[in-house]
Amino acid sequence: MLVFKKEEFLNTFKQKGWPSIKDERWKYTSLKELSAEKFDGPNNTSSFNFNSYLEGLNFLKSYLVFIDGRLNINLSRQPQDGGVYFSSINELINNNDTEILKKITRFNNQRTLNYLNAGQLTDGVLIKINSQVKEPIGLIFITTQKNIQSHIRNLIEVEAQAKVKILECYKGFDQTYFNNILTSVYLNNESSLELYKIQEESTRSYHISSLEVFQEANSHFESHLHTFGGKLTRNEIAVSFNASGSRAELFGLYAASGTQHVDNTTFIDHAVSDCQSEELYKGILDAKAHGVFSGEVLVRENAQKTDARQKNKNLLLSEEAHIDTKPQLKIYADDVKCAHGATIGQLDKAAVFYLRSRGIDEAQANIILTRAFAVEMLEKIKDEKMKEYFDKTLQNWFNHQTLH
Amino acid sequence: MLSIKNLYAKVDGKEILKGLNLEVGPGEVHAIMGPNGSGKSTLASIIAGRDNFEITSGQVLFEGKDLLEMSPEVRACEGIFLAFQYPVEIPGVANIYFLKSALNAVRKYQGLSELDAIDFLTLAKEKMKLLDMDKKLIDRAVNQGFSGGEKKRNEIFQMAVLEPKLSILDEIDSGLDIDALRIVSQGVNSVRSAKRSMIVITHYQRLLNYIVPDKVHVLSNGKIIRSGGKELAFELEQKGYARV
Repeated sequence: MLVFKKEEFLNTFKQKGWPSIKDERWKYTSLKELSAEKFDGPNNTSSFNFNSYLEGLNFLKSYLVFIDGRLNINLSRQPQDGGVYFSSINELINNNDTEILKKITRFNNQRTLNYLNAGQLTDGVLIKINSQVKEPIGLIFITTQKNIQSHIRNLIEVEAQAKVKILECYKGFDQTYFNNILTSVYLNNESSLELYKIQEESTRSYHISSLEVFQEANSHFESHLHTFGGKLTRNEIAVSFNASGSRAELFGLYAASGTQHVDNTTFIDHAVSDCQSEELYKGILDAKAHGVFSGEVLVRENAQKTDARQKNKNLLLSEEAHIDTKPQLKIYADDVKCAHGATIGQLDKAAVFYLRSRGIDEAQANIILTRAFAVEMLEKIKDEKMKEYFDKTLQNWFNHQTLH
Repeated sequence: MLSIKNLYAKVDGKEILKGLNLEVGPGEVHAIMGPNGSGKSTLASIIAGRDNFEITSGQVLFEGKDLLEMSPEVRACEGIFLAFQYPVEIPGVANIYFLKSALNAVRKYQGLSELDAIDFLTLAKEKMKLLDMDKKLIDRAVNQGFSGGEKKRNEIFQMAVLEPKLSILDEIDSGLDIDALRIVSQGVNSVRSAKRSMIVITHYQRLLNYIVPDKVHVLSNGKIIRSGGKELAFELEQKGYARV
């Protein structure tokens, strides 16, 4: 019988250690400060009024709420759709569900943080989708305790021809904490997942997440990832095409100020022929914020008729804001369409003057033009209610900024 | 209303205005004509508050207040409007949203209540009609993909909505065909009143058939070298700048 031994994973992590900037994949993001912090596991949650944290999410008919990394079923609105099955990961581990234990422990073993995740596992969710589910499902993660670490493990399985939209939200009280999330997505033949994520963590927190997506034939994956919070954020997305005819779209927006650090690292593995991938990440960096975009598209020898596009665009609002952008294409097939690029710019001075000459003050003009840069990422969202919610969170970010 | 005294200004270290004097009273329309490089657009920029020049001496007063001390947005709120020679394209900002923000900023400054979306739209539609403007343009991004004529109409549309006290029209006739010129001019004339003044910058007398000025000035080498009534424009058209 397979038994989930946390200690073994933790020991492996201790042997392998934290990723270092000497590792090419971590060149621009140092975890030195994070690794020196002392965190506890979460205590039992005290009663707290979470209403303000769930405000605005009323458009969701169902959501699962995680407080300090653990599923809180009382605060959740359970999905009523018969095509949706869910369970807490802790519960499945406690029941020694062999199939799930296998899946949880099947992860990229090159990535040491996955061992930390397994070794300190807090909780997470398994979601199985068996039909075309209309209403989006929310996964709301709220961190209330200070100096805690939550290691969250999620599994999302979408069965053949099934379809779903999932919204992940991360919020937290204004204090130091660490969220380390590992999510695996399995998309079976002709299935579809639209995965929305909004990260509005405390600007004193660490947020590291890894999303692995495995796509079977003719499947569709769409990601909308908007990052506003976090002292240090690293979002990794890795997509593997296991069979032909699939499409993956990764759209990201990151907005950072102060001394925030936000890293988006993506990897698309075109292992088979006739797949399409499209990536567009846009960043707004103010004050002394540091952004990183590192995107790799690998087109293997057999992956003929691949269509891969990747773009990263950045708006720097201050002299001291910083971006490291590294779009990469590695192509080993000959009959492919590929494009990539990166841009870094500032607000158009002529446009700022135009707005000011009509009576709009400089701060407002900067906001209007910065929003205009970001609005393309909202327009990528087809679901109207979702778009509205993302628009509100962007507005909320602006409301808390004094743009330089 | 506007009083410019002995104004000297440099652009990139080069002296462009060399002792310019101009007095514009309430309700007056002044045309400024002159050859390329005479300083016409620099003058427009200085009044609107662009920061790409250096003022070395002189004074610009607007209703007795020192204009040069004001930010561009404060000038706009005080009632100054520049119709740009080259209106800026702003992708991602809807024309209607932009103009509503502008109007409400001006109204707020003037102690008036802000207009809500419905009242604003009613006002905007009324002014668009005046300019025979395609209704679709209001929902599009500011000037993006607009034809030359549409851009100029959009400038005058903004002017009609904002109702400034002093408008500077910088070559509003460039790139317009005869029909568009007539419509744009109608829009300009509809804003004329005993309280509103205008400075019309142009190369061509033709525009002044539509927007009839009270005074015409010739700007040459950074100074006004001659002033007269509307008949001066005809003389210029016939003789050219060199012989005036």
